[in-house]
Amino acid sequence: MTDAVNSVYDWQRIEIYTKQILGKKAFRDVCVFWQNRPGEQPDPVIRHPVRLYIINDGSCPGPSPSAGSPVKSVRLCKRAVMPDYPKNTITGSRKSRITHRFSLVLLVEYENGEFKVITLPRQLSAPGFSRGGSAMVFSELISPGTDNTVSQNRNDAGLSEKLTLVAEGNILTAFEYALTFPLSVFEPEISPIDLENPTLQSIILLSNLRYEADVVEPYMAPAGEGQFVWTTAVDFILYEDITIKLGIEQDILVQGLSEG
Amino acid sequence: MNGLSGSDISTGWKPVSHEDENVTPPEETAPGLQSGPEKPEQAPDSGAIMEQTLPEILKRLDEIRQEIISLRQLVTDMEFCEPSRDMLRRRRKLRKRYFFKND
Repeated sequence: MTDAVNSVYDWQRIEIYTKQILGKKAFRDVCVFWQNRPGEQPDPVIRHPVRLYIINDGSCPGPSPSAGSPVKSVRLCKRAVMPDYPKNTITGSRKSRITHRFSLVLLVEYENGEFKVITLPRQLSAPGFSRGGSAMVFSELISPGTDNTVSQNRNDAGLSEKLTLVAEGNILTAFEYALTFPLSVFEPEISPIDLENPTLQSIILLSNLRYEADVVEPYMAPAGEGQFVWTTAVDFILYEDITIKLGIEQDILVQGLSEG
Repeated sequence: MNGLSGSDISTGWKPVSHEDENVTPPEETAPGLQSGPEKPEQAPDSGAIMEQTLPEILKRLDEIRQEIISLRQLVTDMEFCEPSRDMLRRRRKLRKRYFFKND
């Protein structure tokens, strides 16, 4: 509090340039890495973890492979987000879509005390395809001969989610999670007229990333050309909170005194 | 459940990209979904009309606003140029005198 009380006559016109939030939405506990069970109708609520078949340490493909050392534990070291992601898009049907591309770096500990670092989806492959020996993990997420869509869900509120794989040539570079929702989900609801504002911008916050990794059982997986390899089945699932705000630029005029 | 510290990410403010209105996102027409197609929020016709004519409506609204502003200005100018009451009284008196003389 200053000693002298400033008179209203000392006030001046101050122009403030700021961002006005039109609407925001916080999605809590969003499952961004999951797997639909083959042959089952996707459940809008229940999410199944992705089953990863991690090749045992020391097991080599062959007609009767050695068991090697199974996986003891799996930890997520890093979730690397691709440059320029996540991003927001207004779709042709006036919905908002958050697109998020990432890769996962896992630290795998084996029963024999060995450790390995695995990067997904770069070292991921469909069962029966060893990808020239570079694959360390098999998963039914990938179905050879189909498109890159691996999981998708939709609920009654008009929210739809999709998990796909991004490839550059023969290399799988990232997982892409997309969440599409109507503008009525924003708080307050955003009108279609607001979307015409040329200064419309968005900010996306990813927070509270957490995962579950459960070692399930040993599994002899097909490795192609009549060969097999011993793996350990691990269930892995990923959650995080996603917050999005939509705003426009505003010039605001106020009467007052600046402290600067 | 294991947390991963230091994983919070903020994109900062970025311009929102707009998808072509004629392009329907694949996830909205995915054939593999068994839950059925999503219910439209509006009647198809009204939605289509709104999407097609929204820029035109906005443009027209802006024109109407400009017209209102110019009309207001016109009214203000007219009030400014309106003759005073004294002037009107004088004119009426002159007219009355003129009529009496003729009678």
